[in-house]
Amino acid sequence: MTKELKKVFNIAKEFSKYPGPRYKEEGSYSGQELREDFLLNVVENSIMGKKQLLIDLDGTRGYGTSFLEEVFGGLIRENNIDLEEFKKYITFKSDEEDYLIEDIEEYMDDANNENSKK
Amino acid sequence: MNKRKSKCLLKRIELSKIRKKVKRSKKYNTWRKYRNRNINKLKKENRAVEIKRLNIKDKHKHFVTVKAPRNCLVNENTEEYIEFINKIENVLSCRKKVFLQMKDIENIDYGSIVILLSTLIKFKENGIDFNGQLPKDNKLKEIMINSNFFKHLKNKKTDEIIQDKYNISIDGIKTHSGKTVDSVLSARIIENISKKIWGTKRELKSVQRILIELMHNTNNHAAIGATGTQHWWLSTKYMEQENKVCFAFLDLGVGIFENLNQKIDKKTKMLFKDIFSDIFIKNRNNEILEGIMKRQFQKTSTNQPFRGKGLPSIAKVVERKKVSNLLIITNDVIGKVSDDKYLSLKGSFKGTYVYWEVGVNNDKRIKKSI
Repeated sequence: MTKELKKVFNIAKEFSKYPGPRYKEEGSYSGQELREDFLLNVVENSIMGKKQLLIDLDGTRGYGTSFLEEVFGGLIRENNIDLEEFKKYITFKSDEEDYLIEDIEEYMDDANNENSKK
Repeated sequence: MNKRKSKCLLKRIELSKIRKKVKRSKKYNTWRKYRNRNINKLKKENRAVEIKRLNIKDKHKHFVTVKAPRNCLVNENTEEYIEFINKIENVLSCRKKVFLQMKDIENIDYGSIVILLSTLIKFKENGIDFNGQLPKDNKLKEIMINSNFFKHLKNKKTDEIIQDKYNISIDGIKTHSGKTVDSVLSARIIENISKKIWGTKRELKSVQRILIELMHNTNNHAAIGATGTQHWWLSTKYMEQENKVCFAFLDLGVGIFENLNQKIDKKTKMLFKDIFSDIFIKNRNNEILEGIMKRQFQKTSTNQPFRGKGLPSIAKVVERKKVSNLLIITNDVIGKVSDDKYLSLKGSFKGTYVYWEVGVNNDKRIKKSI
């Protein structure tokens, strides 16, 4: 029996060890830059191709809340990614700061609720 | 005709300048006679000291003197120290020169030095002169002299007057400044301080989070109606005896509540009385800060529901005991977050000052160095 190979997107290796602010104009390695220039394509391909994706949050020097909200809440809010589809194909790994996953799920739920109100 | 008029005008201006010069020298000569008459009454040994004193007094005739409190300790003697800083800021707003009377200082902590330094940098940026008297106490005098504190401020090179970034080392106190969120700098600072405490470089993700949140807040909210215009200042000092590092983060913007007040005016508060609870309307800022830190208020000054998570996340870091003794001073509030106490101040601090400590007990993991 063959295991389905999960694609892994490690933020520290694929983007930066030093995640920064929310928007590009606020400083380097922003959440907006990660979402628009790196992650969005990967997420869309994963959902459209019905392939599993693991987002690895370990290996960085630490995250600001605005960075995480802009990346993951922004996928729902700005890029209109369907939350249910996202949860079906994409999972998180965070051994170094286990509370991050809960925070991210909260940001995405809030963004989804805001979108449904519009 | 016009050429003749302008020539006449130039002659008149030159003549008036010469008259003023003669008048000034006459005035100076009268003053000098008066001074010498009084000095000649003194003994020979005391004459030089008296001349020096009179010359200094005369040199700073047009300076506004501001006296420093005996205990320049922003954490413990907050009210008095803020009053001192506010007096300096008032002189700056009147575009007058300031003379800091610091000879009677008995105590000064490094957080207070950083606040003073960043206030005086504003004078320099505005091209306004300032000066001061060193403390009488030899230890304190040594700290001020051996540091680059006054040296840096005295630097007259115009290119260095207004900078986006500063890197200053004062007697073991390292100070950095910037206008953007610099996550690489904060990571480097953490590497250096962790080496001091644990002997090896460590990642302190919680401290990184605090630094990013604070830089972000300064960038976004320190000025009304503009982003990225105010400097943040970050200072660290290693306390060898206690084996801990003290952090002081500062911006001299408008402060948290002034920012909120500008964006949420009274009419709006009255209209949405149910949403903005009673404490917003009565401006009980200490309770508002407590509510913000405990995530009781979801809205922020941006009115965007997906924002406003920065300060509550800092409170969570304190809860997890990743830092110690965190306190926030902004406008008329001092929030001792580690002690869960939020108090009102009589005066008002224009800006936001955050202090915390990191020691061995804040990271007990046995970890390999990075």
